[in-house]
Amino acid sequence: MDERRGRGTFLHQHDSYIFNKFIEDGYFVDLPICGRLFTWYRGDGYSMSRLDRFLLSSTWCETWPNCIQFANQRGLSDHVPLVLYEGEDNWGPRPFRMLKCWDELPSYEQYVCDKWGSYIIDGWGAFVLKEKLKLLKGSLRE
Amino acid sequence: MGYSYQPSNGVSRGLLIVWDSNYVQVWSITRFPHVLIIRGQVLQNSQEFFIVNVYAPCDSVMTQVLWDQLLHFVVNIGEGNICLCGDFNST
Repeated sequence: MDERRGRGTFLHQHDSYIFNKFIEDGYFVDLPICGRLFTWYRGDGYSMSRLDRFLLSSTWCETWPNCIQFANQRGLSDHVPLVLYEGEDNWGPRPFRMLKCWDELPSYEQYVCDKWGSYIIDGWGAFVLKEKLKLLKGSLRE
Repeated sequence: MGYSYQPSNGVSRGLLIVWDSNYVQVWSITRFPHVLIIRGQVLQNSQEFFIVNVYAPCDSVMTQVLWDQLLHFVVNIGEGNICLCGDFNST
């Protein structure tokens, strides 16, 4: 994946070479970027680049094996905030699970329908669905 | 809370690291041009770490010097929890 887009790309080939060599020589782990591809945007709307990053030693990755590099939304700066998350809590929404045997309970279907209808959530469709599934998970646990 | 910084040159090249003293203890700070480094440990599990905050120059000759300095620093640490981060001005 090209990490730079815009004008005058050719001039940067040598810089890219020495930077990649630096990453290799240091045995650094260059994590894939999540959220967006670039961390810097020029005002002209044409040029964008992945100038910011985290480089981790292999020991770091053994100590904290679940690191994720995440590029956030753009603010006022031409750079976007880049965050390194550690831990298992950031794998996104947890899956909704049901056990097939629940369906055999005579009251199950009615219970789900009643509960589903009782939640009042505002927002766009996917958000409502996600929140309702989350609440339903809580109700089923009870 | 603790912090360490390198002043900016005009509106750019400043470096700042802020940490929560409830979670980490920082016992040494190293500065060289374009780099700010803190060394400390995570209180919960006593893991030692280095955070190397980088603001690379745009000039190719100067970046080459910086990469050499950083490699030298990392090799001297040997096996360690090292995190380099910042604006490398390279892709």
